[in-house]
Amino acid sequence: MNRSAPPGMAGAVDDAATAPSETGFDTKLYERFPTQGDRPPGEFEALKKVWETPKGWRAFSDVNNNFIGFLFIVTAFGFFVAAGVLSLVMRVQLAAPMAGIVPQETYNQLFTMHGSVMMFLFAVPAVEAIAVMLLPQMIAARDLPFPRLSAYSYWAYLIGGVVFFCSIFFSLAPSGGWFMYPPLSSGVYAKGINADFWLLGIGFIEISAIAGAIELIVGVMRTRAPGMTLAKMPVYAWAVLIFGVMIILAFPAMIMVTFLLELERAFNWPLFDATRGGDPLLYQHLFWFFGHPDVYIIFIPASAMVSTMIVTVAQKPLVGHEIVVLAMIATGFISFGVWAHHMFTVGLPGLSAGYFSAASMAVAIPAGAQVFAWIATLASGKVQRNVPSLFLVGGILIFVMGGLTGVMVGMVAFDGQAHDTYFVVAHFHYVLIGSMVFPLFACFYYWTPMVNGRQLSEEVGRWVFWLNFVGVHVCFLPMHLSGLMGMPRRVDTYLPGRAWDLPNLISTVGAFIMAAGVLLFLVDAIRCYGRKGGGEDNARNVYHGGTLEWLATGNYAVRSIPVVNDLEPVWADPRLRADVEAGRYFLPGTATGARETLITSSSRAEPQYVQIMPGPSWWPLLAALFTAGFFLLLTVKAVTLSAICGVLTVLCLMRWVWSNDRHLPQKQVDAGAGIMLPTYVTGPQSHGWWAAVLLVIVLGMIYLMALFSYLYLFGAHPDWWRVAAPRGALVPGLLLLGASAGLAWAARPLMARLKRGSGLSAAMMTLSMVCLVAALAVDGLDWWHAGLRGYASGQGATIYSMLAWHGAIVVAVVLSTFYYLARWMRGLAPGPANKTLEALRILFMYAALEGAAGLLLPRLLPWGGV
Amino acid sequence: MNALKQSSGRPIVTAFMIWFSHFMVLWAAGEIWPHQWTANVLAWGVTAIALLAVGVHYGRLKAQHADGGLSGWSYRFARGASAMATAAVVFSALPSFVFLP
Repeated sequence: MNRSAPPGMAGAVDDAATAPSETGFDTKLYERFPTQGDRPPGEFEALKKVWETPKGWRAFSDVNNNFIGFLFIVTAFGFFVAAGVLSLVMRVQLAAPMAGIVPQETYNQLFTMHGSVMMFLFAVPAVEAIAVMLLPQMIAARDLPFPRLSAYSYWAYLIGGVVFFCSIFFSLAPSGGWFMYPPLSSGVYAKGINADFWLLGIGFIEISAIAGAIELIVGVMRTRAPGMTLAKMPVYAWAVLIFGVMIILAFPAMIMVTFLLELERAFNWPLFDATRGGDPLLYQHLFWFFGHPDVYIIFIPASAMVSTMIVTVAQKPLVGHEIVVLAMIATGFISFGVWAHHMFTVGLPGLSAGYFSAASMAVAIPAGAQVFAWIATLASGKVQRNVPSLFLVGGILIFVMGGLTGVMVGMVAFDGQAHDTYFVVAHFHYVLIGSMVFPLFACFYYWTPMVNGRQLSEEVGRWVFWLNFVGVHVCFLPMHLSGLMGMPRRVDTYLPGRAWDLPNLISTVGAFIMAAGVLLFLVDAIRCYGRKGGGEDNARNVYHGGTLEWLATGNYAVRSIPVVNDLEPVWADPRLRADVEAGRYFLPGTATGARETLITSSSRAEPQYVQIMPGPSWWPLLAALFTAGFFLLLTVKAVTLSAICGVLTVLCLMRWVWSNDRHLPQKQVDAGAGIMLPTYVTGPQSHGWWAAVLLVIVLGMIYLMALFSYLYLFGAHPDWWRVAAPRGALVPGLLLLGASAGLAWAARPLMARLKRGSGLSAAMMTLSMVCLVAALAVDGLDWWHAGLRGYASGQGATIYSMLAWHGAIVVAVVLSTFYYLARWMRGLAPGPANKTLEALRILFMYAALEGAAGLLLPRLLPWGGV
Repeated sequence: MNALKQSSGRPIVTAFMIWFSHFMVLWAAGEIWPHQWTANVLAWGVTAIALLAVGVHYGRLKAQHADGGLSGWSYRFARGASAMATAAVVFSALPSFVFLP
């Protein structure tokens, strides 16, 4: 190097020298950066060309995170506005006693849709959308590792969400509350297809959320810029990681509970019917095992946005960065131990309620640690007074107020008084608005220059802030009072003379003040985004942020991927921006002529290989369209059309992934400064392997919820366990499942070792599938011949539910086998290893394990038969 | 691979998993044996085991760090997580001393 190494670079090399390499990569190679001299002509143009968004209507085939992320955010905000309009109608109805603006049934649909849309179509998707857009820029990845999965996730969400929302215009919207408790939502009390719309629509949107979560986890763990070790990872990336992990652990409960309720409604299986051995409390346990972590799934990324923005606002590093990260991890864990605080009034044993009460109050500790870190950072920095800072400070204040009432309702005795009153409505609106909505507005103002090159209006923004801030308090503060005076939630009207009139009228005025603020924001946003953005220079970084997203200039994120050694690399190295834009770091162009990014190791972020990324494609959009068709047609009982959509979905998915596994030889490419990296890697080093493992964790969690359902119903109603468990299938079933797992496991080593290993491994995978199908048949027939029926009892319902879910996994295995055979016949499954086989064998082995669990549990418990 | 141990997030997750397992066992016992001494006694026993487990975990962390097997970052985080897990285990067990059958 003919000039001294920049601070970031020198630090990265020094830091790498303190610990042995994670991958064998020689970190001294970092010293080659920044490279010197001019880059080859045409290199940058080629990079831009490869990452270009298709023009005209073909733009909708784009899969880049900038494009998809932007659509995602706009759509989520659209649902926020739509759900807000529903709430305004409710507030008008409640402005005066005995008002007759909307009939009762419509009112029930309004509050159900308001809650469902805000939680499922706005809150979680909005934070996920921001992560899709922001994460790659912040960790200097060119894109997320599975861009087509992002596109599928978005289109599935858009189509499913729009159809679900439109149900209200046809009086087909559900009316059982956003949590749809049975028995109110069961076939007896909720006839028609309204509840089915909710169940299938929400289940479908959950799939979208999980797809996004897998993408984000792998993104954080495997696509960070070189040198960005876990210790130097931005707090936002930490939050996205925790958020993703929480989604894959919590959302499966929701998928299982919607599946079970749909089974009960469709086939009269009494899973939640206490008169036949089911239990409505099972629904509540499963729902809230998802529902409460969901609040933190929303809060954690939003709190990390606050942490990120506060650093810039205060122009100093976050006070207690490590404590904040630890607090987020702790919050994530504790959030899984608080679900039953929503069930304090159902008659839980006092001891159980006590445990949940303790955990609920404990969660205030890590949340409080974050708040103190923010206050300390602001207090010790040079605070910039601008619209983002207003929303940040306002949001913290509102969140703290909501948190305090949260500790109050965390106490069992107090909750007994406030449960299902407007006090609770006030509490969770304060929490969610303070922890998520205000940070979201701050984020819009803060990152718009990065997205658009233009700023939202500071002047209008101040009006937006004050209208919202005043509106929140005018609307929700009186609700504490009306709740404590006994006004219940979800009532469409009330009698005069109960002193509820005035607080309700004030709340309605507040709701319209907030609406005015949101409307003003919309006008400003349309004005700002309606015109083309500004230049690509440092003017975009108007708030002087220190993180890497401020280096991003196009669809490809950064021109070259820098080596990072600081939490605020832009502050640490004043030359970084110029060097990155001059292409003096990793991947300054396109090494393979395709879209690509750098895959780094999970802990120390050492470069491992260059991932060739898929480009624009219509298949994700079509797959989402047909998936939506499958679910929605099933809702209206159009079984044949639904089945056709199901087949088309499978075909689209297969076509989509067909070209993903481009089996190149271990070709190496110059990743920058003459550093050679491979382009094709299999096994645990591969990012695809990580995604496969995460998918299996999701499936495992779903099945764990099914096993829990069995145990819960058996524990609650052992008198309904009337069919003695048949043991005939035990030995043959376990042998078949063992053979299935063994064959799938052996397929890879045999492929690597034998000359004809490719064909042999395809045959072994086929045999593995056959064994799985046979085991499922043996298991199901065993119960059927024993006289067990799904409609007869909780025992039958829960056992056949497990079999039904396992059957769906086996169907996936069968389809995967045909897919793999087709690839093998086309010569696309060569040895010594290929990514498709790696992923499929994980699924096959998991399916065998799941089958074994489902075979054993109902036969071993109750031990000795009934 | 030695390097993987150096800055792994596993020690942090282990500390919180001890708390979570403890919590789940306590809750399950409360559900299976409602209003019975068994649930309380089991809670006390499991709390002792959980505190012991956190202690062992902490001891191993210290030894690993002294051997240079754990990066400063991992060590600081894991110590913080162990402290929080200890507090959470004790706090979780509190109701079992208050709500007696």
